[in-house]
Amino acid sequence: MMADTDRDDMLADIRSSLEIASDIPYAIGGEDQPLEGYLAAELFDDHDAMRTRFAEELANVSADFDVLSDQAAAAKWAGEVLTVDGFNTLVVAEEGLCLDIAKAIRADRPELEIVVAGDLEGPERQARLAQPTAALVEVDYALADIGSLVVLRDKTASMLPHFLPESVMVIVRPDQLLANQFELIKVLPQDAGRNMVFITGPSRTADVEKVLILGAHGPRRVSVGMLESAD
Amino acid sequence: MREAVSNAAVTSKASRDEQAARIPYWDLVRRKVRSVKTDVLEHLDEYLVEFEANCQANGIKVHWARDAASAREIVGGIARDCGAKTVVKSKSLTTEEIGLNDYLAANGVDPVETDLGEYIVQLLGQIPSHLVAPALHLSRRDIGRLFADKLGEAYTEDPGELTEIARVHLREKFLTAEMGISGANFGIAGSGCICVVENECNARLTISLPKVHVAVMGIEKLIPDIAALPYFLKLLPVSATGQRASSYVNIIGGPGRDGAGEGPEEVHVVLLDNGRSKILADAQLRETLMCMRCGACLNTCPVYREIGGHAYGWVYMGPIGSALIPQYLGEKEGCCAPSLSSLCGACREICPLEINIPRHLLKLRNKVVLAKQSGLFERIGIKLWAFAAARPRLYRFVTWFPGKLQMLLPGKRAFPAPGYMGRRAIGRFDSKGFARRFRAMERNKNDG
Amino acid sequence: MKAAIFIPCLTEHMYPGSGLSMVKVLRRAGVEVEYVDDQTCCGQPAFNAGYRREIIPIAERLIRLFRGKEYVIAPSGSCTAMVRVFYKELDLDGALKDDLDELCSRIFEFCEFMVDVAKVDSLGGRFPHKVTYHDSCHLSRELGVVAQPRKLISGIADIDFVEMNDSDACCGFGGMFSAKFGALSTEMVARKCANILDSGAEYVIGADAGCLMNIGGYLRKNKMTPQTMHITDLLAASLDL
Repeated sequence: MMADTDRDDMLADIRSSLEIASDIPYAIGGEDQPLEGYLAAELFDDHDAMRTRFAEELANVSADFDVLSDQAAAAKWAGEVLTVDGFNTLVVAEEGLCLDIAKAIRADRPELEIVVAGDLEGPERQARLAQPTAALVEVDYALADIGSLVVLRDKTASMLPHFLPESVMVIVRPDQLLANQFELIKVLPQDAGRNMVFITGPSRTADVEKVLILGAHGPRRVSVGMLESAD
Repeated sequence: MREAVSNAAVTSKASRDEQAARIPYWDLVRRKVRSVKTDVLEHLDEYLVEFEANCQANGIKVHWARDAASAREIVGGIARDCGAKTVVKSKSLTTEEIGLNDYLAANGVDPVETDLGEYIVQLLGQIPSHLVAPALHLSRRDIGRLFADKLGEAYTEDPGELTEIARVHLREKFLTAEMGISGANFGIAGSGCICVVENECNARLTISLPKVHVAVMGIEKLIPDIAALPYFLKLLPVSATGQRASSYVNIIGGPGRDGAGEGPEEVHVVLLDNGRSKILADAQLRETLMCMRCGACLNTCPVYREIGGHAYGWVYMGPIGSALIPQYLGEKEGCCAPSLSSLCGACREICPLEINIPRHLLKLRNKVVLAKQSGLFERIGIKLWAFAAARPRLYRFVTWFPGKLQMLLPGKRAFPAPGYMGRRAIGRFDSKGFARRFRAMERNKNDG
Repeated sequence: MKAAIFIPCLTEHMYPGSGLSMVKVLRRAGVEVEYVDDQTCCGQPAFNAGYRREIIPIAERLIRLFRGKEYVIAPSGSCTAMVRVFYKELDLDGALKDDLDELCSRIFEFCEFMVDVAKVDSLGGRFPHKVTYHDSCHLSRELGVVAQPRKLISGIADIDFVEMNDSDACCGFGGMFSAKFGALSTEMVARKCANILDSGAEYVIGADAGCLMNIGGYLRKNKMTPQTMHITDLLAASLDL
């Protein structure tokens, strides 16, 4: 098979290339100081400090941040975002917390159409979510140092609500907040790190004259609501 | 165009500098990342085999492509097998390197670029002018006119409205394409997954909406494990666009789960050689394989700022492009690229991987000379000069003339030298020269 | 301290005054200066154009010429870099490789010698004018000499030293680059001169004759006020040497 020959040839070529010793420095620049010291210094004193930084970084990438006292407050918050954005449809991810908050929203705002992503079949789900809508989702982790959200694909029923809608509201539990990617790697469950996405702010482009535009092919608006307690 | 490129490059570099300054241990991260890559390159065969095994365990099909033709056929074959009529593409310079789009189009598959800059450049039938910002050379008016002509939209030159037009047109394609093709910023050997970094969300949609996802990745893109990734991600967005973080880091390790009704049914990775193992064979030039295509060298290069990306004539441009062009295209076709530099070294200073581009350009200039691709007059001139410069008496004799000839020039003019005849003059030869003046000075000192 | 001076070809043929200034300044700093006859060139223009085999005789001559000298000092960052950084890329005769290693530990550019070896920041001179400084590429990037010239300039009484924008941006000389890509090179020097004008300096000081020739060539042709001055000439003038 052609592919197999290519594999053997390529590996053979690489091996023979590597018989020639390198004439490049192993590493240059900087001194042999351990990086760990600097990285440790970037950890936070306490959760409040981490949350403050998280809020600052989200603002830096044009995402909104609010602290939500409980699920009822979350429902009110989501309702406000929907009003400001002018959406009448809300797509909800299948996770428990989102469904609970959605119930509360439905009670407050009966006129809103609420669609649970998992209720729709694949192609229908794609088509529906591709329409301009808002979404309410959860994530698996949040990273304070640069304002990122982490979604593990194999732990979520549907990823489309995170990426297709125009406006995405994200519920974060306080215990999900970590300092940075280094800390994330330490706590990731085995194998879960093979399929994941780090989301930092809304989608954006500067391809037209380097003018920054929020909302390229994905969400234009990202609103993060962090619960005060893990509930 | 020059104004646009220059201003954009200057602004990008300024943002990059601002963000890099926020990380006081930037050089230590550079050092770490550089040593990781050195290790990968020196054990590339082992890492590739590990990568393949882990990808396969995750359900990813791994293909090996020795050259561009082989890669094109593999991708074409996958497209055929899944009956693809339309293919959405996220930004992949590797696919441009192998000329994939033309090949697909010639075989009845419509390849649609979805990165806004690439989409624009595709509609115009041009090649990108920058590694990271493909449409840098175009104004909003150019793009507005393009969309009005090619997409039948009402003319607008507002960047937000132009982006919205592209969003609507391309979303349709995301939903109907049978296959998505991406590149890969990193291949993670230890986990058997690939990493695609982006801002627009188009790569996310490319790799998750269509039924089949194919990633074309140069073999040099491997990193050992996921623990190394955060170090690279500390440097890449800052160096590329002056952002602290890119909007999306997609880590893809297999097809979608059954029952979720989402995500591709098949994921393929095409490992591309196309000359990389040959570059690896050069003990010094193999350093150029470390490049992570951030584009920082372009933004800082005074030559790139003046001439823009198209002047290099290929998909890789700027300082790293000057080093890659002759290695991929040969000394004949690539004879001019290494000379497009004053060897100032700003690129090396800014490169997150500390690639010593000036050193490589010097070596490549030598290779061009050895391949007899330098100009005949230059070769003869240099040989004559070198002959004289090794023989001091002959050298003194030969260099005596310009000083004397210069006296024939009117006034205090200097010689009209190539490159020095416009807004700038070359220096004047001194009538005596240092050696004579020094000896005179010493005599006076001793006498006086 | 005893030093042999290494005179770059541009200094020999076009700007011998800078070479003489360097001798006078070194002597004032208490260095015994020796000039070895029969110097030609370090070979850099040809090396940069891609010719290596052709300059091996030149390089080997230079290494032999400076064998056994306590120090070797050049009023040029690019020539010093050529020997210290690039000569090792040449396929030199085996015995001379050791001599080269040895030479590399003893060869210095003028500013780095004054500050790092002779430990002289200031010679007590005076120069009541506004000056700025251009960082030449090889000097600042290959040799890392950035602070030393500034120390020497700041050590002069009554001098008004201002930094220009992008002092380390390439002036566009690059040896044969300026001839091969004249238009491009001219744009680069135009930018440099605009920055010099913006700084308000009367003089732009530099440590490399090539850069100064290039910058001066543009300044004069376009009738701009600032003048170029090699740092050796500046120090000599400040001391009335």
